[in-house]
Amino acid sequence: MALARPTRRHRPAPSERSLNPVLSCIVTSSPPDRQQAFHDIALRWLPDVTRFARSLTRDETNAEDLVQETYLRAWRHWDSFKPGSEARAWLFTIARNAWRKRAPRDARLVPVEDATLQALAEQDFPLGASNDVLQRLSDADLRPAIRKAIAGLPDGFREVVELVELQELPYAEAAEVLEIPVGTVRSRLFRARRLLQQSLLEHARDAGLLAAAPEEETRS
Amino acid sequence: MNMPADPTAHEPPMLDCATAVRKLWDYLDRNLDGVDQEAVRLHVTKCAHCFPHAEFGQLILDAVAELRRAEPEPASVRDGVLARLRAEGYDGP
Repeated sequence: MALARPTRRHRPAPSERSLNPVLSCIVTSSPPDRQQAFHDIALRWLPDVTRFARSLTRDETNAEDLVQETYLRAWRHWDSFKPGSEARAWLFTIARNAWRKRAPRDARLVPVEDATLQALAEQDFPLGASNDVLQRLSDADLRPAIRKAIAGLPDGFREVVELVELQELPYAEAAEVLEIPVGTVRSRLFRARRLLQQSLLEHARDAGLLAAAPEEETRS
Repeated sequence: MNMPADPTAHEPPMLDCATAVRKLWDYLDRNLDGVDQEAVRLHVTKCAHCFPHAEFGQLILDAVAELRRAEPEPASVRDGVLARLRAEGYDGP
């Protein structure tokens, strides 16, 4: 397949850019420093881990429990954290493993082969939306519709969207967290985007945008 | 004899629609190399069929990007985490 580069632009989060690299040197030092390092390196990602946990559990109570369990495991195994490595991805991995142990059936992955990506990509997507409709969509606040559409994605796709699109992990780190090949991250992401497009078109139809467009075109 | 310069000589060859659509997400992510990126750009800007696909793709990416900003976790989450950690000996901030 001609699709080649398994890497994606990496846009470091502002907090990532501000990480003091010296902090990684004190991870395994004396207890007070160990606690400070855990605070500075691990707890700083609490909002991101909470968001990821919400994505996994789709339930606020379970998400809070999962976040607690994640940090408890991280604290117990803090000495195994490799200084200089990506703490956020490490925490996501812990969270995902904890969730899979707790709800293995809910954490099933959706197999999507690269061949499927090609077939989907070559398929003539029934856009059915005029430029006018696209303009209306782009003018609207799509956040609620997109949020709902992401929540409705199958688990394997939602995880990828959460990690790559929302948490902005590079493909390689997302692949590590999800324990799948980089190419699979990529194919699931593209498939998920297609599904989001379909959801958004349904949203546009429900909102009357698709039905209203031809009438306006006729009038003009 | 001097032939007039072909103004399109340095342009990449025009892609077919199937190839352009297959590369569309990589194009929108700016993950293609320079030649491929330009080839897809040329195609989608000139092709009436592919242009709305590119526009709609970009619309999805923009909409998702608006959700990126992490919301602060509720105080109950932080309190719960710190309570569990302190029970395990963590005494940090």
